Amino acid sequence: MAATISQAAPDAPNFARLFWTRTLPLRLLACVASLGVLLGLQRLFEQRLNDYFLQILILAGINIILAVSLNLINGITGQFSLGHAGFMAVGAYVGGYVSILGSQRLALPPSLIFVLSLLMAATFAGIAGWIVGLPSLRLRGDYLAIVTLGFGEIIRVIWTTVDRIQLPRPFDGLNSILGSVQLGAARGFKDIPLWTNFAWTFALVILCVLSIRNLAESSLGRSMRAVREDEVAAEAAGINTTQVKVLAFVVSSMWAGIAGALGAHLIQYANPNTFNFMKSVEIVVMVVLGGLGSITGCAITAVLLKVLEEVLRTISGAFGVGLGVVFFAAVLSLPRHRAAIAQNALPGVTRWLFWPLLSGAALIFLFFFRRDWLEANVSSLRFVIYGLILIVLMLLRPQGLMGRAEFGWHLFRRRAPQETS
Amino acid sequence: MEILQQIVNGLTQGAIYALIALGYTMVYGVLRLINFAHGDVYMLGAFAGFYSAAWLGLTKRLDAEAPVYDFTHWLQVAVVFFIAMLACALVGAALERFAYRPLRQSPRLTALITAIGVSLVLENGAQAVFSPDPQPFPALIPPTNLIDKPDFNLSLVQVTIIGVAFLLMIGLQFIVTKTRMGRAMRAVSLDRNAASLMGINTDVVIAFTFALGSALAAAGGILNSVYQPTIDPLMGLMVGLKAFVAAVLGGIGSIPGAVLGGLLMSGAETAVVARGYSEYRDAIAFAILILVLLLRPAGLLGRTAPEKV
Repeated sequence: MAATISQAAPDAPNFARLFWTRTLPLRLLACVASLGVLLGLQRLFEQRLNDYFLQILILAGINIILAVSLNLINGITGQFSLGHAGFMAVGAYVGGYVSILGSQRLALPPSLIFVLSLLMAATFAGIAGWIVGLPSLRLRGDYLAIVTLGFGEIIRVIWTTVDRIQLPRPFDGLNSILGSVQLGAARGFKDIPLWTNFAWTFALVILCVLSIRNLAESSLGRSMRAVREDEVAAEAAGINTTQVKVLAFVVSSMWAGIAGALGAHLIQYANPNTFNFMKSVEIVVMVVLGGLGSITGCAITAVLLKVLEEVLRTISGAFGVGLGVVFFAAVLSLPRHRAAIAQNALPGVTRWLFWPLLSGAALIFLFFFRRDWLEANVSSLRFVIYGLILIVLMLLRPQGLMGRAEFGWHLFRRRAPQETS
Repeated sequence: MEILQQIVNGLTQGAIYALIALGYTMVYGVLRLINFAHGDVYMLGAFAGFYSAAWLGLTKRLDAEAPVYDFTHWLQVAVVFFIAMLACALVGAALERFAYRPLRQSPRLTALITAIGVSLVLENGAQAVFSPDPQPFPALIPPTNLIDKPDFNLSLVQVTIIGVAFLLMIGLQFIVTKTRMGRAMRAVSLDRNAASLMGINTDVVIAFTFALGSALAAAGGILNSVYQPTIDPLMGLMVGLKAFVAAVLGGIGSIPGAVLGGLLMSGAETAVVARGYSEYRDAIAFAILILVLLLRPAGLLGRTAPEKV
């Protein structure tokens, strides 16, 4: 039986043939062109854009990496991870460490050291993801969520206690190689070089989106989707579900590590308490809002949420966002009231608009009469709005903005095929 | 005697964890939902206790010589407990009605994400309403030491906490095993559809379960604030997660399991702190959780159910 199965399995792919395709020159050209465009934009932005906008742009890019990578676990493989910030922390610390040590020890240009530190960040975050994933991916659904949350917290607690790396007795010979870089425990990791810029970030964003899209569309990606749809059935169909889940987890945490390292090299500082549960929840909000399973949806909401964060720093911005949420909630809840409205217009409309009007009125009251109170609490109100977005979305459109659809040229190309037929 | 002191400390904290864990376990029992917002209901309970104590004029700090047998004082404390528990029961039932009931038929992850959203709203809303700074909680119980030896002391506060917690647990056990509503709760947790076919109004039962669990969390909130007398809007985050771990450790869905889990959790925590690794206090809970889920996913007293296709 086993022999027939192995005979039926397809031959190993011919990698050489896959690589030397007719589209290869085109692809290489695209790579060179996008690098050129990125470097050009980098020049342009550094001259024309002020530092504040440039920083937001870069942070939005980092958000895209975080959201798209978490989407691989939460959306495509259908597992629910709440510990993405923990892997970011691993990446930030390892990346910062390698950069500082590398600049002390190696006579290499900074960009090469940066590549090295990003690679190390990805490697260590990947190892952390493997260590976390191997035992915990035997669990399902909400248990997995709690365990990943727990691992994220453990990673954070470890960084708050480590001041410098000192290996114990049998390995103390390595201490001279590891050098003495101050990790700062709870005070935070200071003096990380400022190496992240627009071109680096967005080159990695492109790489991340492409690699995850290609992974998701490969046969492994189909296995991941199969695990998402029905794990028992996937296992019965011969998919090694544990292996597939661990692979998704490792790839995802590697990209989280890279995002963490990019962030650390941007703000030149890493504090364990910024990689807390709230950070993980923020990434989950991006993925859920964009649509679990939609790569482009996640990327769009990652940028949107960064913009939202900036908009919500002011009261009038928060007011606008609040009204927007209420409006969308009203629009989204229309379909389930349509039948009632058609049957008996007035009570139906009343039922439909009751909650939106009530919350809109409350918002307007707060904005015009309790403005100083709002102003004193902007930072907490941001998370209140995140929470409300999650609740409203789950109640009215649990599949997120994009669902599992992808945003792309096909949306513009297609000309309403239903009308012609 | 050192070990005896640690046992008493662990028992006090464990009784509080157990009260909160009961809410998790009961809700999980009837809905298969991790109510992420439960820790925040606990926080709201502490704040309700804070404001009702202020309303009753219990704000003055009691010193060690305060009369222990002052009946009106104890009556006022009981009123504080009653108000907070009632308020949180209403909050719990309202959360169920408006956030979780519309999602009864959706996938479990949808409900989990909603619960995270509710938790975000409650925590940060409380920060905006009550101010994010820690506030001193009034001493509701005179800080008298019943046993006061150089290496061992047992305070009235600890005895009251353990006493009240176990009284509430006995009350819960009575409700669950001896009343009609309790029987309905057990039926719903066994099989919701079958229970509904037998004429049980499952909506009422589930709302009641939320209310009961939230009332216990409120009591836990006040007891914890008496023990560690500061309250802040984020106090429920960690405690809630730990209580959840306690519920899983004991076997989620099992009421005696939640109590056992709470006591074991706090025992482990006390041991870690007593050994001098207090910075790992929060990590140990998750380490326990991971070990339990790997070695015995059903928990200590839970039943293992095979996965159905």
